Amino acid sequence: EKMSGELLFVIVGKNDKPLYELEHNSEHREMDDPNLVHFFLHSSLDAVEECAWKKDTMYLKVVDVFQNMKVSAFVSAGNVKYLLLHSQKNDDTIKNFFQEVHELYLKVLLNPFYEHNSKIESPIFDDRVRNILRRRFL
Amino acid sequence: MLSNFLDRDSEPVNILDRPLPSKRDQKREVSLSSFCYLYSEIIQYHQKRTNQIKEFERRLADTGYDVGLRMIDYITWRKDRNSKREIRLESFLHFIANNVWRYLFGQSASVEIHVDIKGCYMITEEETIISKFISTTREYRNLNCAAFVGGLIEGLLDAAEFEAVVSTRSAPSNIARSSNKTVIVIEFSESVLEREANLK
Repeated sequence: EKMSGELLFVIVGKNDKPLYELEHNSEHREMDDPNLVHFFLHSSLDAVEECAWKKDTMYLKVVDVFQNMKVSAFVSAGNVKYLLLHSQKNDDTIKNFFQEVHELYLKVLLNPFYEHNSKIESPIFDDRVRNILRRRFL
Repeated sequence: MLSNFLDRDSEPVNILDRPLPSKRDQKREVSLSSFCYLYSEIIQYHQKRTNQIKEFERRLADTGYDVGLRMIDYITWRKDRNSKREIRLESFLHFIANNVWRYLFGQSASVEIHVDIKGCYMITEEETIISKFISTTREYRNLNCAAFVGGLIEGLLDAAEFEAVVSTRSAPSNIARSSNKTVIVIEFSESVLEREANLK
């Protein structure tokens, strides 16, 4: 199943620090303020926190809703949060997307030259995540 | 071994494209002697930089801390790709004593509750294999080389948001007269205990 529309993906580490961000915009943005989506995604972190300590699964499904957009979340064992802002509902695809990116993140973690909880700047990582996004959603 | 990862143009495969080692990859295990050799170098490295036992143990613990931070996600994934997270305290301690210990050392440890101090637990194991080949001189008699493991535990706990003060002690072993068993004492912070009480 394919998804279209705005997609914003963020990886958040300890102390709400953003580690990676990817934006995909296949349609023109309808909202007036371009920063609104980012603001909304970060404000949904509270909802993710709450949900994370209630459910023991990693995939938390939709944790927050705003206008016509939803935020789905995935929290790892080490409390790294993966957030996806999307307009269409698609549980299985999103879960698989999160799991694939998480495996990529595990490989980054195993690299001793990567400082834990720092921004992931590798262009290859970015390229691989874009591939996963393209393969799963478009 | 390395040639498996080089293609015709001799360009090494990026780490992100290599498969993650899974449970079935028996060839990926490291022998005890290889690890002990590396560990002895780590100890010698720190020995050159300090002669205080407390600081020595702190340095070993810091080395282990970074490992623990990274390992929690990987060990959970390795156990089961669709695994759940640990959100309950005692369940998490058992995860450490069983899954983490078996992954690292090939054996399990045991979890005990401290009778006197509230919110305090101990992970004990009869024989710490990483210090198996270490014998200390009289000056370092009180040094516990398992401090590395204590630091590793602290890293695991911090990453999973179960903040605690972790210390490593030795106690006389129950089974072997000459060796000591390692006791890792974990005192959880107030906020963690509160959160755990709210979840009950």
